[in-house]
Amino acid sequence: MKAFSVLGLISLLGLVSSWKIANLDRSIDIASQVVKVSTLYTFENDGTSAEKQVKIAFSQEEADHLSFIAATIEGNKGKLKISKVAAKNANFVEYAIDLASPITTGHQIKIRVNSRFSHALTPLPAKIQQSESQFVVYQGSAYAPAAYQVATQKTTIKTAQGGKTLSATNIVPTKQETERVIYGPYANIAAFESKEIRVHYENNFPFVVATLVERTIEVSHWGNVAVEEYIELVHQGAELEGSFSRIDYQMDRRGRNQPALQHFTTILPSTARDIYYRDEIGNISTSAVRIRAQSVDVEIRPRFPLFGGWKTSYVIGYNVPTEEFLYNSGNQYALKMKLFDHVFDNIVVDKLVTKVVLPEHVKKVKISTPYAVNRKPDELRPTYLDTIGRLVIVVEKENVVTDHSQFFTVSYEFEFNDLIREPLLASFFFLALFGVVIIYGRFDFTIVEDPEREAEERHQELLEKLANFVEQKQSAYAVLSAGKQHLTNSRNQINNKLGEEVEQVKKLISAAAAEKASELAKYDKNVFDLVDNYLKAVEKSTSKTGGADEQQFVQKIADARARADAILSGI
Amino acid sequence: MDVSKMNKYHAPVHFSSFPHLTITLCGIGLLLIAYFTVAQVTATKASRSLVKDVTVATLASFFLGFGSLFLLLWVGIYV
Repeated sequence: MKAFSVLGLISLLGLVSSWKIANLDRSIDIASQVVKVSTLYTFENDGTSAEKQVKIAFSQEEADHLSFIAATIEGNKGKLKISKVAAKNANFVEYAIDLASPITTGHQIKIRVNSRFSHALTPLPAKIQQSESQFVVYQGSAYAPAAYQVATQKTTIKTAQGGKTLSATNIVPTKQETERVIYGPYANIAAFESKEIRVHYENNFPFVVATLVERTIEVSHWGNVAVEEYIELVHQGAELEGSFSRIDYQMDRRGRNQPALQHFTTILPSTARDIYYRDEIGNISTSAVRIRAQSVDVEIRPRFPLFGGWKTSYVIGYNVPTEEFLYNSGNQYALKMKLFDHVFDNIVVDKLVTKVVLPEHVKKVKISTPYAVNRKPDELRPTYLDTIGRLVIVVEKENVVTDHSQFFTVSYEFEFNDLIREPLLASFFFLALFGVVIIYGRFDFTIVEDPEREAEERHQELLEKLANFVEQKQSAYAVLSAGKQHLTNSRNQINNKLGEEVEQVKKLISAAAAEKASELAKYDKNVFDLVDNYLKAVEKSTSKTGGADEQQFVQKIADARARADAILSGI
Repeated sequence: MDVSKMNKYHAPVHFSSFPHLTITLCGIGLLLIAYFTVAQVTATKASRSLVKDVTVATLASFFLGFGSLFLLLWVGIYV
């Protein structure tokens, strides 16, 4: 009973593991400067109850260089949640992986863990001449670090292509092939066992590390997202010893396999435009932009090849339209962009700083990142047409590799009024300038008052006004006489037509009707005479509006019209 | 709110129309400036009209404000 309770206590504390590893297949790729480890674990539930969590381990040295880690169930794309937990062994670091569904006793689950380690390879010799190749040492363990007992395991180390392997520690069974060293299979290795190995091999990949990548994303609601990256590169591989000869460099038979960074390709989003690249004193390097189906590739050849210990820094920037990265619903906006984007393959970034410059007066800013980052205090950046400055969100992350190139989201609230405020601000600026001119024009800067001149000016002003009135009157007369001319012309035309029509009526209907119809012309003559008289009266006296005359005239016109109508209806 | 439920954001003015807008708005604005300047220079103490000056100034600054914004956008200063 007592022994039973002790056992129960032990299992409660987790001292007795309920898992064992049936098989472990580890492959370590050390062809570039990044150590890429891909491990396929076959966990088997060896305990008494269903379990939802498994643990994996890394040695302390590995953990110091660990940059990126991701776990998936083999054959499945969804990522599993992974978190650091307290280790049972001081020389190891443990991570717990949460399984999507519990695994019952006796069942197995295959989990693939991809991990990336930076700065894990040491150049030996540490200094080489220009004509020499770079050799590096990989230090690790023949036994894969594990939190449980491992039934069978095998480790394959892939060295650089076409490179020599000078030495590799032999832990029986060990097989050394071209570009490959295979350790194992080993049977029944206890948890937290390690066996140190050293692989000394040729690796001419330029170990170029970006000591700083400062990525600035500036959002403009006028339809643009501007991205700019400031990058500092240092070659941290074997240092160049002795002098550098450009001739030897050009004539080197190794060509691209020299341990120097000659050129690299940066992959930008497919909609990138207005791409620019410059270093400290401008762009005197060779760069080319190639537009591909899915991306825009920028090929950059720095002005000098980067040898061991050398460094350079440059700025690259481009614009992308908002359609691809900015989303909106009402006054809610969300920017979805990469926290870190491609610089060149297998890069190691010591420090990544990503800044997001949002428009002015944004509210309720929220940021969600695919992995943990350091959020720094927000900054304000005043730029064009700003009043208080734009909000800048700053996040930092250390030890970044290519796998960190993932999307993050910044969501915020923004009102349309704040967008239209910018042109209005410019308008008010111009209005203020005009205001100054208007006020200035109304000041009198004459030292001595000159009443004569003022009187002269006023006189001139009045004369101008008078001339204006005369001009207006003349143009009114012109309109009037033109109207009269038009009236006479059209009357004659209509009269002629009327005569013709009357003739027609005479022919077709009867002479009596025609006689009646010809009376129309009589009334028309009356009307025409009236109009003529009226016009004469108007012309005679411009001051007299002729109230009575006018009324009489209107009355007579109406009478004539009524009679004409009566005749027409009589016919 | 979830990003996947949101629509893609399109700018109120497409960037291909920035040059036309700049030239038209700035052009009208400059003509109004010219008119304003001529009026200011030729006016005498008696003939100044505040209403006319302010109207022309307001119109001109409206056109110039929007015109210069689109000029900034056209040359790549995304405000």
